Amino acid sequence: MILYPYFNPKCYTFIMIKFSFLFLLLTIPLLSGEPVWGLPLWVWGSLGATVIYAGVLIYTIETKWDDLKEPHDG
Amino acid sequence: MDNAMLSQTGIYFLLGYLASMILVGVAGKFASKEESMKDFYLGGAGFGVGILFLTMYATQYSGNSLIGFAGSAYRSGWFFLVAVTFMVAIVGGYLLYAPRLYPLAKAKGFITVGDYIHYRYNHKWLTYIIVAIGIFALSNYMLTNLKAIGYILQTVTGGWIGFSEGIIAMAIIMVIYETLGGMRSVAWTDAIQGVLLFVGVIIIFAVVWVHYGSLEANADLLMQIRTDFFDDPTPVQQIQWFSVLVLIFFGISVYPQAIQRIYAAKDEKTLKRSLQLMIVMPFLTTLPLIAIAVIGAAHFPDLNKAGSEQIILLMLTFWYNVKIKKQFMDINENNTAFSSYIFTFFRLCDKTTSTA
Repeated sequence: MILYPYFNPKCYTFIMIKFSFLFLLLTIPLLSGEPVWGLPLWVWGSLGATVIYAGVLIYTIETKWDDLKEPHDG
Repeated sequence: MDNAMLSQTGIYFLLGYLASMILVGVAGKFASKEESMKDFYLGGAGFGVGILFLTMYATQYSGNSLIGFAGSAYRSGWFFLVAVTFMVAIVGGYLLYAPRLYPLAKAKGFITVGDYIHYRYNHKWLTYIIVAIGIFALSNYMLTNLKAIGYILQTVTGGWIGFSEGIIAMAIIMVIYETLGGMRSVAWTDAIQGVLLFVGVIIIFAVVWVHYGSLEANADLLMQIRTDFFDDPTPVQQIQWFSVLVLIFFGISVYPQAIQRIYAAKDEKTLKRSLQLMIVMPFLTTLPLIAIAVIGAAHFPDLNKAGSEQIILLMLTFWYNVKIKKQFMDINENNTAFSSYIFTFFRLCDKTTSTA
């Protein structure tokens, strides 16, 4: 009982979104500054990761909104 | 007035625009459905997608975006791309609490952040402390926006309206229309300003892209005068990048004015759609602003901090005075439409309105 709600499948989404800021680690500029089409390479990498993060958030809002509520909210 | 971006007609347009803000306040007053706190502070808590999204957008993308962001991008180069990521991350921060807070706020009739804290903890001093922290955070936000108003008015009128006078005049107008119409007036003016901001950024981006060249076209110039823009990111910068993201993820997503807008949504679907649209906007607003500032760094190097914060105005003024005015030197009225539009666009910076 103590571990509840962590075994409640509905709460997985919430736990994942709670730690979603860790996904932002992927946007850290890790590539080199070599210019590619006028921009440093790392800009393409960070921008690409940001686009993916944005897509995940849009998908989460669309499909997992109810899972992000506490059980007592219905 | 010689350096003013506004012609005399532009000044009249300016006055008309300011008068219209007060009219919006009056309209908001007449549109109020009841004499209640909920109606005044949340606009009746019935905002649809259009108004809710635009008021969120105008609140998040304020004068600070035009002045502060552009200035930072000018100084830091592409490293300021972190602003695009953190603008997206803010919505990630909302998701931590908005889905749970919204139904609770509807059920309990919350109006302010303090209402929730009091409900949740039932502790008077904790509520006071959190409200005080909220006011402190908001004060910084307001200061940056008031500063932006001062800069912009001074620039577009060529000093005819001074920095301080501009701030005082705009602040008085904001107080008038907010007092009259409450959150409803604020949201309506936000909607107007949100549309102008978005359209303005796109138009300015297009103007800069066409007249100053693309990023690729400016890359060689940048590599000669701003080699630091193409340096490999250092470990310190990488740590700084992530620290900024975490700070903003948890910090800006709990701005009191943002929470109030969540309370003001008509229903859950409206809130969801508005947040989804907010996720897209950094790519259409922040990113173009950064690109403009980087291109500006190639053409106007060596600006100091104050100068860098006016890089967009500088680019437009230069383009207008050198390239456009020369072509239409004898046709005075030609600057009317442009200058009128430019003022309207930069008037967007009265985003302190959004803090009501």
